Amino acid sequence: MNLEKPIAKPSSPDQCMSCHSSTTNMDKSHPIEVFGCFKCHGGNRYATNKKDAHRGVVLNPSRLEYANRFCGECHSDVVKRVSSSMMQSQNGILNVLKFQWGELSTPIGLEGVVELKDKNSTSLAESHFRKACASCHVNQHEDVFDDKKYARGGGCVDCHRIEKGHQEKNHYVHSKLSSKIPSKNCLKCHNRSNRIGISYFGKFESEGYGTPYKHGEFSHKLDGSRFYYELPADIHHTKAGLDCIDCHTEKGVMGDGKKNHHMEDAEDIKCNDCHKPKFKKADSLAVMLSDLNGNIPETKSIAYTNKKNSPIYNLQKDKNSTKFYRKRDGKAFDMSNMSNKPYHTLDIHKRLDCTSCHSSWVPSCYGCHEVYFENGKQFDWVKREVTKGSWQEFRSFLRFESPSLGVGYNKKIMPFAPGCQVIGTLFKDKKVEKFHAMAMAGWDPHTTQKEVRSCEDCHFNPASLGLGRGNLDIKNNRIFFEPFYNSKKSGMPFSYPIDGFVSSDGKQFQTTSRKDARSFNKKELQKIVGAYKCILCHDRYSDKIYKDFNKSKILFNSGKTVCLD
Amino acid sequence: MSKYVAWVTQALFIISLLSGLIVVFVYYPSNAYDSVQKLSFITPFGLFFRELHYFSSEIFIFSILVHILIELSKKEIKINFKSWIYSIFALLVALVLMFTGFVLKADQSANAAAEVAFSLLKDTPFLDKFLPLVRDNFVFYWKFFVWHGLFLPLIIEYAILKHVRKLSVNISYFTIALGVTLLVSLFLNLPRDIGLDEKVLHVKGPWFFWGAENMLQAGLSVLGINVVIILPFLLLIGMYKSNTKLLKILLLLWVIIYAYFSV
Repeated sequence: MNLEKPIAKPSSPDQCMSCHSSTTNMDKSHPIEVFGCFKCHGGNRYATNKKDAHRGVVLNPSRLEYANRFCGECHSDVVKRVSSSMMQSQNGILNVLKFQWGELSTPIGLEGVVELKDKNSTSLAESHFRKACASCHVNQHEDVFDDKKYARGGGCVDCHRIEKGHQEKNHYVHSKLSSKIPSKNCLKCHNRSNRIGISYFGKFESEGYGTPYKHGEFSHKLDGSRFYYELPADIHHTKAGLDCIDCHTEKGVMGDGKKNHHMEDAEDIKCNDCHKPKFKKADSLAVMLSDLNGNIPETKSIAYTNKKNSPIYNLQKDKNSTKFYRKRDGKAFDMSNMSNKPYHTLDIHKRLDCTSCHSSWVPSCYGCHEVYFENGKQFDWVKREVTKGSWQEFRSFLRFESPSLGVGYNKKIMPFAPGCQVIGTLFKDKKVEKFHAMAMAGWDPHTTQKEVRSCEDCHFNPASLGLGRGNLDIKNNRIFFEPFYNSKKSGMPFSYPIDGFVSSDGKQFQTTSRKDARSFNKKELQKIVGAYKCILCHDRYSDKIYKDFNKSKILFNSGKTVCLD
Repeated sequence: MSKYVAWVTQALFIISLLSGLIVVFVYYPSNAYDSVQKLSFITPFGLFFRELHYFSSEIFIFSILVHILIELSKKEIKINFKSWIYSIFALLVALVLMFTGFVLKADQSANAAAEVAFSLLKDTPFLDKFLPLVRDNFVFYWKFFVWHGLFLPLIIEYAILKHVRKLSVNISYFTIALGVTLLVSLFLNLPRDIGLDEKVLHVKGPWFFWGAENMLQAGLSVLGINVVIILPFLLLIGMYKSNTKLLKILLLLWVIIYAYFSV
């Protein structure tokens, strides 16, 4: 006797299915047979006519104004965190902009998109934010984008949707959601400003032309009228094809429930978390996340981030090896710990952030000419209507090589690039006003390579030192620098070179985007450049002076070893 | 004439009572909105009995009013004072029954009406003591359900019995009452339930509450509202003793003002 009867597929508890029976499932976690439609979309689940059934229906329940009611029934913690996250508020961008444009005394503030919504302000920075930056936030309305290719926002679906709902011949394909978020979803927003998203894939936004031609089309074309050069992509992409979510934790991306001031406050992951990991027993969140992913095996020992103790459930340790699993497909990679060789352990480099050496290039967009027309009209991305005042943006030039270094937000030395250098022209009623707000910002450019910058590139390259591009010389322990860029002749309203972060005597020219970030000071510049004469010979870490550098230094200073030069 | 209206009124009350006894089987106070929607869309003949219950109750109120108006139009009220008081009391209880019934449909307008009523009770001296009799912190609709489904029908039955001395069902009047109710429900729709997820700018309570709502909005104090609500009943009581022109004008004035605020 066959006792294994097939289990009947449960029907949806909602009457909605009497019309929408051909709708496909959203994902394996939310089968329509179990959830029905009402649970997520509201309306009247019992009504059998369109009018009554659709009353109160929410087409996109993942918009943050609805998410708490629908998604939040099961994911209330996440909805709360996302609602207060920087991805939603953009307070980091707004307050840094206001600080750099002289409207705030500090780049720290919590005012963001939500607060601006009902505000009528005369602030120039706020106007620029409304007309440009505010198009990117997770709760932006997708329908305000004329070209749906560039549509962003929509709440949870902004990141989690991997396929948009559409009608096919005989059935409706419901939007597909996933926790395995493809990088292209992140790139919808993270492709401008510091351009982390495109840099990671080895794309450096170039000047406004697209040669060489290929198959009758411009090659190397980004969306719209933007072009790129192919540069070395980040090693995490080239070696393992990792997506953004392979490193970035859910807490780092969706927020930790706190109102953070800057991206690095919200950010969770650090290089050390994977390359010098601390393993602990997998907690319930880790088990749930690996189960949800479906490709990552559940294990007892996983890594955790140092900052927020978030589980890195795809970095696992068993008896014999440490494996890193790619979330997209579960492909495993052997992980080896960061070496203990001198370049990682030397005291002289202890202030270096990993990015200062391992970032091979940084997209540096110099001189952003912002033109404001008071009587113009432009779309306000916060109010979602055309309002008075319009902005146009032009840039001076782009560079990628030898990123400037400086002291970053974490008080460590890291790459810096313009962020942002604004030369503004304001066309008001009958007068023209000008202003400039020059700033450099430090960030992880996501162009990591195993091979690092050469010693000379940091110790005797004026661009790396933050002096700008030009001729560098040392005479009698004094630094002499002649810049290539002549700001006065270029009509700039300042005398320092546009790519100059600091003068050779340590005077900082430009502001930064963070309270603690700065250029090198005079003492630091002299120390860095002063080491160059040693590097001329001792340019390899295999050199025996680095075996015990402190001992070598004592021997040299006491005259027991001599410079052979 | 008044006698015939009274028979129809009685028949309407019985229809309302019987249809209420049917719909109560599928009403769950802990899942109120859902059970009302299930009743309306899923339960066989659910909507029919809901409409029957609703429209018979509405017409019941109107027929009480008509009955009273006919009595008032006479030179003198022929029933004894006690019976007159019971009839006014029955009208008051009928309105409270209507109100609790409105709340039990558990949609957004019902919730709002309940909250307004709670606030009115809370801010009214003496009556605030009775708030725990209607407000339930565990199952919002439970006490409304008990009042509407048990105590208020008993009370109104008692008042009607005291008023008419015996409750009898005359098949002809019952047929007329049922016919009128069915006819009305054929041409009119139930006021639509405002889903809990619906975004609406404005919700309203039952029609006899609109005037009070708008007066509150216009800035009348809670005490003032209480006076407005109780005034017509006091006038009706007063009319028994002296059915003067002045009281009639006052009542008419009240009706005009309340109607003005209702629209």
